[in-house]
Amino acid sequence: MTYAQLESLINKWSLELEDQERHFLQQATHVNAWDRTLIENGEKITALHREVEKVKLDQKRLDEELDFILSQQKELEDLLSPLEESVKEQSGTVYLQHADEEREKTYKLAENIDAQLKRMAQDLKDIIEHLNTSGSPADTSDPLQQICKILNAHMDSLQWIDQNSALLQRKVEEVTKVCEGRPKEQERSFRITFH
Amino acid sequence: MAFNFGAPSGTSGTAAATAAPTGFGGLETANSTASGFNFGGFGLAANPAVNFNIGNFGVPTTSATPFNFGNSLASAGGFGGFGTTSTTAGSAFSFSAPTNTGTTGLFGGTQNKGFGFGTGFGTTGTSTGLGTGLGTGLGFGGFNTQQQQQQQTTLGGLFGQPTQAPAQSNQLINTASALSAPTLLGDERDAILAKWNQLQAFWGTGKGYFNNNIPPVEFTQENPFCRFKAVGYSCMPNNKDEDGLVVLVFNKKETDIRSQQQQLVESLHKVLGGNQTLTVNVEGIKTLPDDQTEVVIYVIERSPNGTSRRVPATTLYAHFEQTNIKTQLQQLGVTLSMTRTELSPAQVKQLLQNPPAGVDPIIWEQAKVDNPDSEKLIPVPMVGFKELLRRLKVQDQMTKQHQTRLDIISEDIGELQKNQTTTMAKIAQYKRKLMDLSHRTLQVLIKQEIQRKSGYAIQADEEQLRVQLHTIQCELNAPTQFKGRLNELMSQIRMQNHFGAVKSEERYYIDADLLREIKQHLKQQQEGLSHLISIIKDDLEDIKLVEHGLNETIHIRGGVFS
Repeated sequence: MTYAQLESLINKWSLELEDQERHFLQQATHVNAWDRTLIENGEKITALHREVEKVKLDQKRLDEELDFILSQQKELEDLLSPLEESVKEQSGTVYLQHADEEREKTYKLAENIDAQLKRMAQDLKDIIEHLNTSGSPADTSDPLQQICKILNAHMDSLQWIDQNSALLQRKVEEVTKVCEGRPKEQERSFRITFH
Repeated sequence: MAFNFGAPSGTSGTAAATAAPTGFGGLETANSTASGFNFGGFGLAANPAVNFNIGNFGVPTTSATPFNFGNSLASAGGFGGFGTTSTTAGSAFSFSAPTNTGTTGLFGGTQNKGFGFGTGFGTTGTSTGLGTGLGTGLGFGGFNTQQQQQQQTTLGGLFGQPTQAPAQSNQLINTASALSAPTLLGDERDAILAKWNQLQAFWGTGKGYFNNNIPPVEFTQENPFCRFKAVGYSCMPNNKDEDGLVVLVFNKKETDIRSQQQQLVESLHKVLGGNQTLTVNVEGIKTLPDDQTEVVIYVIERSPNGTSRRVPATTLYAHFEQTNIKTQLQQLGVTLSMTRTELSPAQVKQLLQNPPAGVDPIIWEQAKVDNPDSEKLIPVPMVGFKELLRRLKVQDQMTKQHQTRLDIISEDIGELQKNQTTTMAKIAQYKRKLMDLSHRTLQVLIKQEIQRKSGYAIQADEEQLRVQLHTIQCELNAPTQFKGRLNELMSQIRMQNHFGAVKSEERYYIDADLLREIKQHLKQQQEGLSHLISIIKDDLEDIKLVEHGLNETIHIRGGVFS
């Protein structure tokens, strides 16, 4: 092979080299970019996994609570059924006294109202559910939606007020009892000391 | 045409071109096939510049130094038309061609080898465009613009007088001579040889012959002129030495390893001497490309007094590296073992400061700056296509792993959703049950009360109760309130359901005035509510104080009188 041939070959190969080098660098940048994406993905997956674990724990706790409720209800029912049985047996006697009838009517009224209220509550729940599922998705700028939210918030605060005022009342009663008990005690101890 | 000697200015090209068609300008000659022997024009943007600047083989475009030995220059015939001109066989360097004998051929020169460059270009500026093109300090002189000036002399020395060679290693000198001025044949063919050597150097393989007396220089991919270099990033492990993790790479498939895991553990145990106090545990198994598997193990040592500790990684590794142990391991199929410990800050610093073999410091610095996460990643050179391929394969593996993880997670999520629906159903059921039970309790109570109070006259509180209940009843039954409205709504809904859920797309627009009124009303309500809430909160606080006070005095009292 003559040197001229060698030279031409060399030239040809150098062109190839150039090409290959370009490819190499391209590939290298690709590899680096992919590396970075992979790392990001890995991090996202870890975060996702952590969230899922948290949710799993929460769900387990919820299930436990529900089981507890179930057992409590069962207990209640067990207590209730014998009572019902015995009460049924006893209501055989009929007292025709006017007072008793009045009383019976009153209490029956209470029961009636209770039943009605419960039914209404159930209906209300159904209606609300229906509205929520079939309603249009929340559009926060819509004034109706805003009013809705405000009303909900008011409702919650009213409930809170209700609860807490009841609590307050109970506490006041307790305290008054204790306070009233004290003067008596004071008096007693007074008499003991000085007699 | 096209002979841009690559000088940034590009004027050179023309100059060159106008010069004798051969020789330097040779590019244009008849059969110059390679307009591009860009000795350099390989167009690398991130070209690792030559460390010792021999000539900027690949100087980044900015450096202008003349030699752009090619950087992304179009076709510059780098060094003077290496290009080709095949008109005269091998007279490429005929730079020395007709006219410029003075330059003694860029490289081929027998004398002034080193400065031949410089002189060639620098001095004989007139010589064909080469000079002009390179005029910008080409030549070795130019080279040195990048490096410290003092290298100038040394470079000269580098080529001309190897004996005076400064700190550069012999290898480097040899490489340099091989690339620029081989003296094998003593004539123009040396130029071709130089080109050949350069080509080999760029590819990273082969041998470079340059002197009759000195054996040829081997070109590996590590040499600074290799073009196939880039920098990638690797993650640093962050396990401590005490975790005692050692990685063993087996050349078996992952499935094999998994199925034989127990035997593997036993054999490893034997390798460690079968000590009863030691137990080998497998921390993780990972598949590597090419049917290899990476197993991470740690060894726990239980001392007789009950405590156990992990054998530190370095001890374990040292143990494995002993020759007899090593052969045993190799019989098991271990190809590689290493510790997985974090690098101490000193090590990291050292790694970062010294660019590995053949990587230009500028590139290294750039890579350090580009590091997307300097806490966890360190730059790592990638040399050659094989390395790239390996990385790609590992990436593939990683992706597959991600995929499986995601599959697992999505299964979990499906499970969670199912549980959710069951839970919701259970909750609804329990609520109903509760209401039912409460009603039944009430019934029992009532019956009991009637029983208890039979015979008595109506009492005052009973009367009150009756009145209250009566009012409630009336309210409930009032036609426009409560029960009535609820029934209306219910029937409407039932109708809707019956007629296939008409989705009303109507948007209700509220009259602006009405809206204002509503807003006002709601605001007032809000104020009222917050007022009430604050009153209740204050009262609760007060009650607490009172209780607290009472409790204290009771204790005091108790104390006094006991």
